[in-house]
Amino acid sequence: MSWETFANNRDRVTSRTGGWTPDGKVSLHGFDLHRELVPNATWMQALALSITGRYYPANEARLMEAMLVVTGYPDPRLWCNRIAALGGSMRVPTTAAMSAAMASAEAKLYGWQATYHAALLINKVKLLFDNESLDQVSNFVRDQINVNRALPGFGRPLTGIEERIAPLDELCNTLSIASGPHLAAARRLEGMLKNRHMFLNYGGYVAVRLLDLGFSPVEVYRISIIGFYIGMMPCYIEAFENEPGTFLPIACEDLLYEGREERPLPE
Amino acid sequence: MPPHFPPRSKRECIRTSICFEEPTGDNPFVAEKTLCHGYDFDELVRRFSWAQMLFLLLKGELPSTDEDRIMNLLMAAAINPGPRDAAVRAAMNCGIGKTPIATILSTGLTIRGGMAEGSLHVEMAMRFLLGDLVKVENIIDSNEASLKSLITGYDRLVAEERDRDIVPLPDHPPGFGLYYGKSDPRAKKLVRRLNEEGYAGPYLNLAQEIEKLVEKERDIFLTFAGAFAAVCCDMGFSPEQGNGIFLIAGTGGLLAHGVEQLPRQWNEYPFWANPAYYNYDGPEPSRKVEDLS
Repeated sequence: MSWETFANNRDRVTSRTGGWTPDGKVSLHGFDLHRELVPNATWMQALALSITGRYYPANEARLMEAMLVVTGYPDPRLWCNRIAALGGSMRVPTTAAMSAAMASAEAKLYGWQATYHAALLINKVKLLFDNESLDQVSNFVRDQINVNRALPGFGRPLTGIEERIAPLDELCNTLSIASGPHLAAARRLEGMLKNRHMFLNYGGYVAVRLLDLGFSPVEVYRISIIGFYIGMMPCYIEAFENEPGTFLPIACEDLLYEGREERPLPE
Repeated sequence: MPPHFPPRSKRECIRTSICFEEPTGDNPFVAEKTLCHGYDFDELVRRFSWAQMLFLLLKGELPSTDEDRIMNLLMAAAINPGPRDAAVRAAMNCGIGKTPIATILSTGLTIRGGMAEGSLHVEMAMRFLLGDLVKVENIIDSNEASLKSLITGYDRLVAEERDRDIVPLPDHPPGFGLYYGKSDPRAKKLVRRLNEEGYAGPYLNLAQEIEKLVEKERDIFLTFAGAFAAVCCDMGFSPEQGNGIFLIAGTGGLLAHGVEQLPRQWNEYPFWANPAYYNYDGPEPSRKVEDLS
C-alpha cells in the first residue's frame, strides 16, 4: 500500500452502511431511520440490523433480547459487575464506569471472547458431525480439551447448574423458534462430554442459537457484548450511593504476600 | 503485628508477590509500611525514578544503569505519537467534547491498544521474535534458512488460523510492514539512537536480520512497533508487559493533546461537515419493514 492510498482517503469518509446529512436524513442499511425504523422496529431489531445488515423478524429479535436479559445478574461479586461497583464506589461518572465494566467483559475466561470461541467451535464441530466419522469428532474434542484444558461454550466454574438455558428454551417454544442444526450439534457434543461433566453453558447456547439464526461467529460476539449490562448498572448505582470506598474494602492482612523478604536497597 | 480479623482461607485472599503492606497498629486498612518486591517503598520513592520503579514492578529487580538508560530511551521515543496518531486523535476528540480526563486517557489507551501498529501489535511482534507465535527452538541462533521458514511459518499460521482471535493477525509478520507506504523513519531513528548508546541486543539483532529478508522479498521493513518489541524482548519483558509498556509510554502525548483541546470551541476541531467529504455507496434508503414482515 503506497502513500497515495492515504492521500486518496484524505478528506474522504466512505460508508456502505449509511450516515447522516445535515438536512436531517439518516439511513441505516437501506432503511430510513426516522421514517421506517423508528415507527416499526424495536431497539433489538435495529441493533441486529446495525450489526448484520439483516432485518430480523420480531420473534427472533425478542429471543435476542431475552438472551441479554437472562444474564443481567445484579450481583457485584461477578467479575465484570465488580468493575461497575468499584467504579460506583470510587465515584466514577456512569458512562466511564459502565464502559470499563463492559470492556472488562471482553474476557476470554468467561466473557464475550469465550462466546466467540464457542461459536467457532460449534461451527467446526457441526462441520465434523456432517462430514466425518464420530471417531474424528471425538479426537478433535479430546485434542481441544488437552490443549486448552477447557471447551469454549461448555462447563461452568463454581456450579454444575446452568439456569439460563431453560427459560430461553421455553421462550423459543412460545415464539415458535425451532431448534436448528447448530443447537443439534451442540447437544450431540454435550452428550459426548457427559463423562467429563461438561454441559452446554449460557455462552455456548447463545452462540448456537444465533448461529442458527444466520449469525457469523463475529456477529455473535458483536451482539452479545451488552449481555451483562442490565446487571452491571444496579451494581454501579448501589456502590455509588453507598459511602465511597466501602465496596468490598481489602484490609492489609487480606493480601497473601508471596514475594521476597524485606531486603536492603542497593547503594 | 497481630491480625485484626479471624484468619481466612487462601482462596479468599488476594495473592501477590509484588506488594506487602503492614498495617498501622490501630487501623487494619492503612498501611504503615509497604514493600515492593522486598524493598521499602518510601526508600524507593526517595532514591529511584518512575521508570526505575516501573522496571522493578514488572521484573522484580531494579534495572542496571544500562537497562535504566535503554528503558528511558525507549519510553521517551514512544511518549508522543503526535496529533495525527489514531489514539491521540481519540484523546483530542474526547477533549474537544469536554469528556472527563480519565476517559480522555482511557479512550486514547484503548485505541492505542490495537493490532495496527498499537500495543497489541507490539505484543504479537514480541511473540513472533521470541518464537512463540511460530514455534522455533533457539530462535536467536537461527540462520537465514530457518528465518525464512519462520516467515513462511507465519504466513501459514495466518492462512490457517486467521479467525482464531477477534482481531486477526496482521498479513505480514508482526513488527514488519510499511508506514504510510514506506519504511518507518521512526524505527530507523530509534535503532540509530540505540546504536549510538552502544546498545546491541540479540532480539534487536534478530529483528534486523529478519528485516533484511523481508525487505528483499516483500519490500517491507522493521516498524517502530517492531523495534520497540525487539528491545522489550532483549530486556526480558514478557509480551504482555511489552504491550503495557508501549501503552504507558504513549500516555504523555494522549494527556497533553487531549487536555489541549478541552477549552476550545467545537468548531475549532474539524468535523468534515461538507457533504462532499462523505461518500455513501450503500443502497438507497428505500427498504421497508413491511416488505420483510
